[in-house]
Amino acid sequence: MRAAHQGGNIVIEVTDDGAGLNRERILAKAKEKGIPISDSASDAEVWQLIFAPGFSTAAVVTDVSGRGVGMDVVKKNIEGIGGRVELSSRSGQGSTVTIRLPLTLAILDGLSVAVGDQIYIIPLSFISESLQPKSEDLKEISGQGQVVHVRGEYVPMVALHEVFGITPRVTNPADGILVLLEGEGKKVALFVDELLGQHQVVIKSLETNYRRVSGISGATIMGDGRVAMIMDVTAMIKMSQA
Amino acid sequence: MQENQGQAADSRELLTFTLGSEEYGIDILKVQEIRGYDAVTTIANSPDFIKGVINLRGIIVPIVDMRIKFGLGNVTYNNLTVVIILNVASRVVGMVVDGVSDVIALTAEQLKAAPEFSGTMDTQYITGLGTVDDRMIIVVDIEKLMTSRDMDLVEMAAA
Repeated sequence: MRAAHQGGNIVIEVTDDGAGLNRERILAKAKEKGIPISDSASDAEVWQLIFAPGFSTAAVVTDVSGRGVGMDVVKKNIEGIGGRVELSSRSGQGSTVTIRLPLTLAILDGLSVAVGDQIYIIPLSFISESLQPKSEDLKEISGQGQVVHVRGEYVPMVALHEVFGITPRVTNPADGILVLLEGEGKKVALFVDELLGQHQVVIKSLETNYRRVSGISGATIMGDGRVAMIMDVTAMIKMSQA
Repeated sequence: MQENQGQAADSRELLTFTLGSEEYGIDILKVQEIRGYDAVTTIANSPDFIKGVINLRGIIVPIVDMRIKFGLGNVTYNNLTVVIILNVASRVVGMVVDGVSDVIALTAEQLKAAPEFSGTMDTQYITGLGTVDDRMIIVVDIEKLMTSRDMDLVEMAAA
């Protein structure tokens, strides 16, 4: 077992000298469970299979072991706090599990955007690009809202002022800015009045003195002392798909 | 009420404030400070009496406007608008009132039970009615009120 400090992360490595992961057994089990994977997949891809829920190659199942829950939970929880799990293994020589955790959970890279007189922070990790749409790229789908045409792709548009009930300064998307968000394999274009800048912000909980607010993951204090809300992008994407 | 605990517990200090023409009193030990009204950051989809949150020396504090909540007084915001910062149930909450008037000591004899009536404020949050120099002061259990479902400030356990 080894722990190190690498960039902005804490890296924890757990190594054993056991039998290692058995590629053939994992592949056979994946086929049995109907998980599509080719025989020529790389080792890294094969090892990822053991994180699938309910995946186990154990021959003997006891009350607690071998049910395929453990690794799934490990991965979910670590990713939940912004970390990553990697796995490497050599047959007959052992396996290494590498866990990377962000050093501070409290600092976030974000883009500040303005809507009306309010400022919101969008976590940078979800943003793929921002653009000023041409009015011919904006299309209406009856009863479904608007989509925007971005390089051959139609992306649903969400107006932040509608979601949060704010009076905006800009009502026509062609006069504002669209921020393209990507999360959980889905894309959504968020319509805001303007972009303000990039910041590293300290996350403050809203729950300490208030309660959870849907669409908001926390708050922060800006340089001028004002409070800005940090957007919960995953929730926002879910809202747009509902 | 549990007043009969000797002389010391006999009188208690209250901070009184006004909402419209009514005068309210709250336990002074629940009050952290009194300050002016600053610009707030609004919270999306919250009730209209929750004005938003402010930065109080690095902590995020929600601000409730009691005048909107109870439909009393004129809802205007200027440099005379007063916010009482409360420390209730290990939370910090600010409330906007019309004005802070006084700190008074109220003895058990001066505190009468509130009659059962349906007013703007549910009688379950009213500890009693106090009389000081012909003024009637509505004594409020501010902790109970602020953590109640009515105020929508605290996460309710129910899913």
